[in-house]
Amino acid sequence: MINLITMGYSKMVRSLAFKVGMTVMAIFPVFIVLVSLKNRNAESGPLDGVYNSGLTMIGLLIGAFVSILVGQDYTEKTINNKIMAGHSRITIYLADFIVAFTGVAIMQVTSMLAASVFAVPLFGMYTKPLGEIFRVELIVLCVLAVYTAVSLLVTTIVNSKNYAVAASMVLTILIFFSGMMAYQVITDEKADKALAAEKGEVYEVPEEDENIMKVFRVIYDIDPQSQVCVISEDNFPENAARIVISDIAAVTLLTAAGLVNFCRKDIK
Amino acid sequence: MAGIEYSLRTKGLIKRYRNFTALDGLTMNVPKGSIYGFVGRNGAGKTTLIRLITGLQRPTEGEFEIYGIKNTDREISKSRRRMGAVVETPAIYLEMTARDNLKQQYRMLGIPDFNGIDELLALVGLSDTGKKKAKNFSLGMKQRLGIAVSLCGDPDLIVLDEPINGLDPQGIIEIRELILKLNHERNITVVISSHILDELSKLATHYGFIDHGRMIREMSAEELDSACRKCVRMSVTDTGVLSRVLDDMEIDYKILDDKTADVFAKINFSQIAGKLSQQGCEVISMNEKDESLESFYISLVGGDGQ
Repeated sequence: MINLITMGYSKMVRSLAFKVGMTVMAIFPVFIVLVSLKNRNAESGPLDGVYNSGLTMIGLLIGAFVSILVGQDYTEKTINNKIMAGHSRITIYLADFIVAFTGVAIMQVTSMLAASVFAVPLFGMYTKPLGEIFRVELIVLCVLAVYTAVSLLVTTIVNSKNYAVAASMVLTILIFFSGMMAYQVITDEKADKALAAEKGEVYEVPEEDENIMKVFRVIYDIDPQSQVCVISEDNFPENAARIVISDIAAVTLLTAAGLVNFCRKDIK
Repeated sequence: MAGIEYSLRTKGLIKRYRNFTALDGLTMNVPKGSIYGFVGRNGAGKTTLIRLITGLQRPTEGEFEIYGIKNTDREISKSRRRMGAVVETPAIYLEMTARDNLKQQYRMLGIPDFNGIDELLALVGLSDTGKKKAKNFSLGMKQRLGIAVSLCGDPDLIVLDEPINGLDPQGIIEIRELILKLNHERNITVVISSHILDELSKLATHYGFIDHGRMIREMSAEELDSACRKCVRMSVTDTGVLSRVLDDMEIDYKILDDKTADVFAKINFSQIAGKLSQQGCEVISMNEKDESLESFYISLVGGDGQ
């Protein structure tokens, strides 16, 4: 596996997809900082949370990045070399996951560094303690792992770089919108509850909406884009444990499905 | 065949894709050190067989062994490390140079240093490609790079699937010379699938003829040579006269039509022409002709091949 990972890293750092991903993740938070600078006034404080601004679109980026990086092996048939070299399919799949996930994590770190390089001198050090920032980033890594596992599964099912990119993008867009929608619905519900509590009333979900709200609550907890929205709030996520557990379960499930598919697959 | 060592053997290999049977109980024996020409028309099952033995696909039934290790044995992956292959198109990273492609293969195989790369590049004639990316290579160069990749790790057996398809005459010669060099100088057993039979006949020491997923016949080049008879094709004004003359001379022949016949012997042209002339028959033309590998193959598969 180490041989495959070493080779994968070597391929990744040369790949255009990785370079483009790094550039996007470095520029986007800087853009956010510059916009904030324009809107700055006398009461403006430190710019907390800007280091995670790249997360907004990382799902789409991961979809494209993973499918190009791994799909290349199918398009150029270099997957044949890995199999013919005697590596087991389980090893090949897991090595691809590790390489892709590392690439995605590097992009996130790049995004954090790029944001901080501009934000800290201009706005001052973040008010959040470093310990909390690191704890949140561990949750972020779980979210990134889910996106990576989804994209890798799609790529190995589709097994063509171009189709894999399209399929991954469609899937990540679906995840993106369902997550955003669930986040919005649950946030509104929380606001309604808070407002009702302020008035000394008890908020109750209308009976006809109860089932649909249950669905939204599940999506809110497990959808990586919804998790991104929660993480991007200023507070430490109240459902952090649920996010981590559901992400670990999702990565395990997706990877198991990917392995079953890949191990049974006839390579053309 | 006791005493012969085999690099690769298959026994009753079957591969089905839903309702289509690509291999139908194929049995093949590739002697160690041979150049084994694997002959069959498009769709005969050549590439499917190669996919099975390289591990890209799994057989539905049957088994194979590489250097004595069965495909069901856990050790088959080690055995595959003694084998290199180019299946259909060369498996290379198009955005990388020839050297970088070989480095990637070295990394994948866990070879700690890149010392052998220069020698490999020289062997396949790609030493001077510098920073040129593989995507800008000619088809022949890509094919040679694919072979170089398959040679990383010093395999004892390489499997080449239609290696000369689409190549220009110069490219075909280069690949042919490379294969011969690998076989003669490095003692590598080479399995080549092809439907370009004349080209194969310049290389192969052994043949396997496949049709509809079945092995029709395996034979050595010597056996094939004796099976393929040379003949002289004669065009005359009257094959009736020619047949009488050849019968008198006890020469084996075959009348093709009323003006053409194939004569299966070395003949004295002046003598035959003189005898024909005496009986009022003129020789229009006379050409030496091989009953080629191609016609032998067609006779094996029943005439609708190629």
